[in-house]
Amino acid sequence: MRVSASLLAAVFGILLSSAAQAAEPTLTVYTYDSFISEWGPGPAIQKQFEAQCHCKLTWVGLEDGAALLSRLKMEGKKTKADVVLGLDTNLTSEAAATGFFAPAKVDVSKLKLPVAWNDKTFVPYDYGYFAFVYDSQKLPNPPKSLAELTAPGDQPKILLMDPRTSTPGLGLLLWMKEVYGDKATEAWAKVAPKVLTISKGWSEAYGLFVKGEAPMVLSYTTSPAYHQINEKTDRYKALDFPEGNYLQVEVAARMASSKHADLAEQFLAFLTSPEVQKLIPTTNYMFPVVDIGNDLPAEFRNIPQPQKTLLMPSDEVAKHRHAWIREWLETVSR
Amino acid sequence: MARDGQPLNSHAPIMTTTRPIAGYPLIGIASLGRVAAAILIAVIAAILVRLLDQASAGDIRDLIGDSYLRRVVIFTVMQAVLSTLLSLALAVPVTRALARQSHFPGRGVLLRLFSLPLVMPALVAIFGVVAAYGQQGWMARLVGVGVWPSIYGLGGILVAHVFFNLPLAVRLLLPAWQTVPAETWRLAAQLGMTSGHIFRLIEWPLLRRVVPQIAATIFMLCFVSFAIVLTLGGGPRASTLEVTIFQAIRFDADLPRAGLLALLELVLCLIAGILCRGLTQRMDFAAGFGRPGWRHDASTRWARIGDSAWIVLAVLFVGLPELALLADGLRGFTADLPWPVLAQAALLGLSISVIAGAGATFFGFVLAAAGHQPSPCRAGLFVRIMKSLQALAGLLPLAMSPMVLGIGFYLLITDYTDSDLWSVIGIILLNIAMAIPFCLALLMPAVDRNLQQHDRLCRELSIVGFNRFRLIDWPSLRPQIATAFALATSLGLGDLIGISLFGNPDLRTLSMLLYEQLSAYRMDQAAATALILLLLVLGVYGAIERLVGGKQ
Repeated sequence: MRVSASLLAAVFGILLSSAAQAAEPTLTVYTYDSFISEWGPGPAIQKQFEAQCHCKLTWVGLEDGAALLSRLKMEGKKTKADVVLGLDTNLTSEAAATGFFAPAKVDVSKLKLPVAWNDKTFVPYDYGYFAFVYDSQKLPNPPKSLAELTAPGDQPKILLMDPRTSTPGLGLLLWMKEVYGDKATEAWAKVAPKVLTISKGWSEAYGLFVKGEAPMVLSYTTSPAYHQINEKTDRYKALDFPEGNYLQVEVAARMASSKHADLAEQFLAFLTSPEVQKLIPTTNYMFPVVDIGNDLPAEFRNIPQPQKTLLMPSDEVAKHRHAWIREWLETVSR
Repeated sequence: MARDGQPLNSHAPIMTTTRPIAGYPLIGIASLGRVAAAILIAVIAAILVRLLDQASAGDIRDLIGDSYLRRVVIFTVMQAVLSTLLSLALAVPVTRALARQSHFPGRGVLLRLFSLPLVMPALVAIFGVVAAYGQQGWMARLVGVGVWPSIYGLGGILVAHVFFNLPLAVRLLLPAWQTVPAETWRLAAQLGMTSGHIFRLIEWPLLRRVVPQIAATIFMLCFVSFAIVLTLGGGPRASTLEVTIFQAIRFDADLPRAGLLALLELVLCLIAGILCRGLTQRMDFAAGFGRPGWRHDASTRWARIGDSAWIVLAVLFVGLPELALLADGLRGFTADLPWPVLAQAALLGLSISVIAGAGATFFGFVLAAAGHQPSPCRAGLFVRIMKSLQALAGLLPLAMSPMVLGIGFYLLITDYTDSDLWSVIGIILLNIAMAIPFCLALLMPAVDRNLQQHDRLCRELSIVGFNRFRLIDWPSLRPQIATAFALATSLGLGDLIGISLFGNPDLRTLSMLLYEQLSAYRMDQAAATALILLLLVLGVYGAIERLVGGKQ
């Protein structure tokens, strides 16, 4: 009975939400699904923020960062969004070019990031490194470097994602470009025989990896921490390569069209507060952008910091993405 | 055309309540069907117009000059044709076997299990197929890893598509077989027909009548397939047009390009639809009392052996991935599952999909009724074009890129309103649209037979409108309507496109939850959620067939 009551409440909540709007202002935040899922930081953030803002926080969850930017472009000036949370460093230049976003007052210079951050519009709230994760039971001797991974041969098998449809997929494309520059195509040609498959998104590939279809998958350096914390196993390990690992910084920004600029500012500041940052590691499985001391789980403290941080300027990505994807397509579909 | 029977008393109410078109009196249901067809065409057209609003000649030139795109189109068509042929080549003998052996223990359960693959979210199907036939799957371990061929490539795409569509084709074909009345079988027995005779004289015409429509349905499903093609196809060598559309919408918000690509998809799918229609042969059904038939050629030793072989083969092929999902799901049950969230998601999905299922069944029924009206011989070109349009209208939601259908729906609705109520209505409408083609394919043979048999009587007795439905159509079509309703409802339960479109976190269904669990590393819980979804589908399917169909 409790369930059907809560379902009724949910349905009526939707129908009556317009009535509630009159009493309290509503801050609408566009983000990606997994951020606001049962397992993500969203529910706790909502509770804490609503307790202090005298407002209602409404989430809109889309598939990923790219979907967010695309949706904003389609909605244009009519968008309901006040804040957008979940774009990443590969998208900020394109996002800035739309002119939809307004600078934030948050002091980003105080944030603890592996790279210097000067962007006033996009406020980082977490970061992570792309990495190859392997199953140590099946692969006792994983490749120790990107050079080894791009050496001739067709073993070990790896699972990748398509840069046309997935954020980590695009991450690897840029990673290879950063390391190999003009020679990236040749490197890809050598990786190709090792690829078991290139899936649409991270979930497919990681699911196949856990099923044992291949001993290695493109993921994040933080992935093993999940298995250590929730499954108490050291079986899955991430590789940091001497050539460096590619960085992903996730950011939030407020919309210039928002009618609740103050609330939006308050939300962005809240996002970088220790209360929220404490939630990030075990809900979003990324690194926090402020020092949270002992609140950072030991499993995260044990993750080795990559020897080198790779990150391509966002303008470069925006300028060349199409050409690079086309080049990649030609190479791997040969 | 005496066969189609003009009403004897021309001043009967039918003439005053409905408008005659092209000199033929129409029944109310068929005119509803025409309205439904018009609505479908209008919605699809509105979506394309909305997207192509800013398309320029340059966009079109870009597409035409794109050599990669040409390769993608060729591959898309090729894999869809192969998947369709393979699915049907297997489905026909399997259905024949199931139709002949109409009483064996477990037949009902088997048919229920056949309704599952179609409603699985792509990811679940991928995991099931891989667990059974992958590198480290059950079959590989049985035969020996290394000996078992790699599934990744065209083979993987075909295996997954046949896994989806073989059961679908069986589910759609079986009702057609059941339209053959018992009287025909008795006659066949009296004449001492062999299985070969029966196939040539009864089953082949039947197949000519129904298979093209089913082929078109499967072709379109495979044509717009996307996650399966990428993941099991081994990478971008196997890309479909839908990937390109996804890219245009997701990364570039390039609506004109997405619109043009969707138009290309639509045109190619409609060409396939028209070709299939060209292969369709109208069939005159023998009259009968509609009792279940008994076939004299079913009990010979060879018939039994052959039929059993086909049935076992199909059950193994479809059943192994399902069994793998069951095993994975049961393992996931040990983890502490978020029961209240799951229950709420199940209830929400159920309420949306039952409403959508009822809607789709209604539309499928009226479209099938409208499609029956025989073409007048001397009809003008205009009438004939309208007829083909109307016939293809029911397939439009399948021929349209699901990605574009979704985003188009979203844009059309949000252009006018941003109320949350409309997001619920939008999700329901989208689910109705996407289930119509299946309901249509399922209902068409039975509605055809019914109209052929009862039309004259109804006109003479002036039984029209709802009375006709209540007294004539409902009693004889009840089982088929129930199956269509059950199928459409299950499709809604597995829906992801509609539910994820508006991004409303209060509207979270099981399939949505499953994706969230996967992106939060909860693979075990996701497997359990998938199992719950499938069990729910089984339950709903059974309940609807029993309650609505009045079976057993």
